[in-house]
Amino acid sequence: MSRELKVGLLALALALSAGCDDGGGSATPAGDAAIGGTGGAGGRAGPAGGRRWRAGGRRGRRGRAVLAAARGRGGTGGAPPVIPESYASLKNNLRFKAADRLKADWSRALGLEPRLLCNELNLFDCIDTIHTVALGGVDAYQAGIYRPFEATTVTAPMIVERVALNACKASVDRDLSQPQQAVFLGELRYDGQGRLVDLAGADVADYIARHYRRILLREPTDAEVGHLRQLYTDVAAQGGDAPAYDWAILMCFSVLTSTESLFY
Amino acid sequence: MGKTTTRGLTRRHLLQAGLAAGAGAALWPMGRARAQAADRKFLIVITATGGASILDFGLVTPASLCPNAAVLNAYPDAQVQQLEGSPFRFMDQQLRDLGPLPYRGPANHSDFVRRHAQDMLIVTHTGTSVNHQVAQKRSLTGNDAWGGRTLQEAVATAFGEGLPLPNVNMGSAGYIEPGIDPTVPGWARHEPVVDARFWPLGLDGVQGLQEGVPGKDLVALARRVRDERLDPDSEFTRTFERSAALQRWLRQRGTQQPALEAAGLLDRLNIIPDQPGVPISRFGIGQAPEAAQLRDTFPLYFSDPLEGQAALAFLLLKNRVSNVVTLGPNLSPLVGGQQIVDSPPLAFDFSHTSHRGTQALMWSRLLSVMDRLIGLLKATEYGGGESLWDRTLIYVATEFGRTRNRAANAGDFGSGHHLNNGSLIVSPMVRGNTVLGGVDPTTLMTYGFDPQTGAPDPGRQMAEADLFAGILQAVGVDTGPAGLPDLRAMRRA
Repeated sequence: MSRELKVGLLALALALSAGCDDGGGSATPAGDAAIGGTGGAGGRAGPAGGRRWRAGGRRGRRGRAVLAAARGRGGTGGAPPVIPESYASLKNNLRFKAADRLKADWSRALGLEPRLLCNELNLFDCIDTIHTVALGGVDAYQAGIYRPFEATTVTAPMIVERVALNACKASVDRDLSQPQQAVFLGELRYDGQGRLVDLAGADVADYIARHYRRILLREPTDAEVGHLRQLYTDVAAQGGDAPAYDWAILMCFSVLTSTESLFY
Repeated sequence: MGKTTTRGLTRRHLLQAGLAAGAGAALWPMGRARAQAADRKFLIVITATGGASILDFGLVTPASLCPNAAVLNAYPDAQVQQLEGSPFRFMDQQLRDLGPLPYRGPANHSDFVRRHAQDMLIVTHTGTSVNHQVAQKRSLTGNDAWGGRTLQEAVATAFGEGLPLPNVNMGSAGYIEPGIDPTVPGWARHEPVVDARFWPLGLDGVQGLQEGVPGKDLVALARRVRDERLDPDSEFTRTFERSAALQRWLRQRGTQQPALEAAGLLDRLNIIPDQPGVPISRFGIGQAPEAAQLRDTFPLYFSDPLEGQAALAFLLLKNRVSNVVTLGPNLSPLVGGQQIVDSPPLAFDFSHTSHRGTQALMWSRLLSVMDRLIGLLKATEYGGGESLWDRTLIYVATEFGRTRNRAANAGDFGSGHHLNNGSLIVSPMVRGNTVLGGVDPTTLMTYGFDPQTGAPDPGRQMAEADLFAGILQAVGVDTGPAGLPDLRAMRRA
């Protein structure tokens, strides 16, 4: 392994660990602001939880600086290591997380009990009962399927979305109805019309970042934050009566169903 | 954001990866796809899971023909029926139990023969494994006769191009395993279905979710951000952009999912009505236009998986979602529906405990579902004056036969696995009202036939590959590239 590659990998590891430290932990009570029209006049900053998230954000920015330096895109002083092709996997041994791993990861990331992630028709567990095999799981007793199928099924992307939409709604509802147990809400400010108070505000960036930390175990890039802010603009333009609420679900959905969340 | 990845791929390239792959696949064989659409053929594989004995349906041997009838599985002459001008021998029985299991009721085989004898073909053969899982797979691949592709994959490849899900498999164990031929196109691989009743829910990412979840228009916005911004820009995607798993996912998400959702399949394949405890309409889910008819035809569709599978199979074929469907009982018992035990555990393999009762009941279950399914297909126009049934072949796949011996004059007994057997095929495309091969009355072992003329040949055993080839050739698949034997005798003249 070349020295440049070692340096690059070390920098990458440092950057990732900085991001993980920020958000991979357990749910942090983060204020009692609400999203959407169901809450009162929002906008109060969260208590200690909010301050901790902001501190995390600074560590995250440092992490990104290290990452940028490692990628030769920025940083100060000295010639940045040039690592052509360093991010392209040679093995490409990527695997779909499949039913059990998705359930465990999403349950942990959203702070929800597995049984609350998704239930078809409010009756049948999506992952354990209805869509197990389609999500790459096994079904020894009924179908005699003892090993997962190698390839993802055609229906898997749709089922993943169904589970994610249900789970994200449950997550947002939990944050709204049980502020003390809120995982993501933080200081997010909204107005009486169910709109975000300041789309460009740090509270929105932090709200997005919490999802990245818990779901992807890293900080979002500035571009990603920008894309998800734009999503709010697009959602609000549809004229719904609770754009912040819808956006919160859809922002969670976008990250939860990204390829980075689904494969390992 | 006109980023360039480390190997010069722009985000636009990544965005188009799925489209390009899908479009490319669709473009080059467009002429072939059109040809297939104009000349679809349909295959239904019904799995006689556990080992269905052809000596208990179709090739029943009356005791008077069997010198060793007392110790072999020959039946009293009075029970054995045969239609005039037809080679099939079968029975109707009134069952009083399944060995130690309570079961009381008729096992009717004659209705099916009376209605479908002209489309029935029985082909004798001898398998190569008495292991369930292995034999199940071999019954579909002809023991790897064509590079390991399954019958379903071969027929889907030949006649299913352009369909949303050409090859849907509701089978179990070895019957639901995919083939291993790498040259089979990805779209012809099977889509597994475990629960036919609720599987359609997975055909839409949004429809039918609980109240309060953002609607399709809003979800479309989020999908666009994910698909066009987040994923293409992420280090993860760029790192693994050449991963086959990721490329497949992007194709499925980018091209197949929109097509399936646009087709409205969740509504078109659902036959569950509003009912106590399952409020379908409250979730914005509609019903197939044929739902009421199918519930009448398969009244146990919700409690008996086999009936639910048959209903879904019909809708898949009728709506041209698929041209190949596989269905059949799994190894679980069915209890508490019509009586204490409606179907034994292990399906046909409960013959280990109660051979005759199990074979009679399980054959009866399969024949009854087949009969109803054929009736629906006959009543459905394909086009040009043909019915869907005119272009359909049903293959009753099973692992192996059963041992023939029994304690002297035992009314019921347990049986083991035996390589020697025969298979039932039903189709207007096969040589109907025919038994190819025969049964040696002294041993009750089946023997083969001349593959060209069909003449019985007591010195010959047909192999799994012969059956495999004959089925494909009857449907019209060109088996030349595989060098398979010509089983002309199985085809309708």
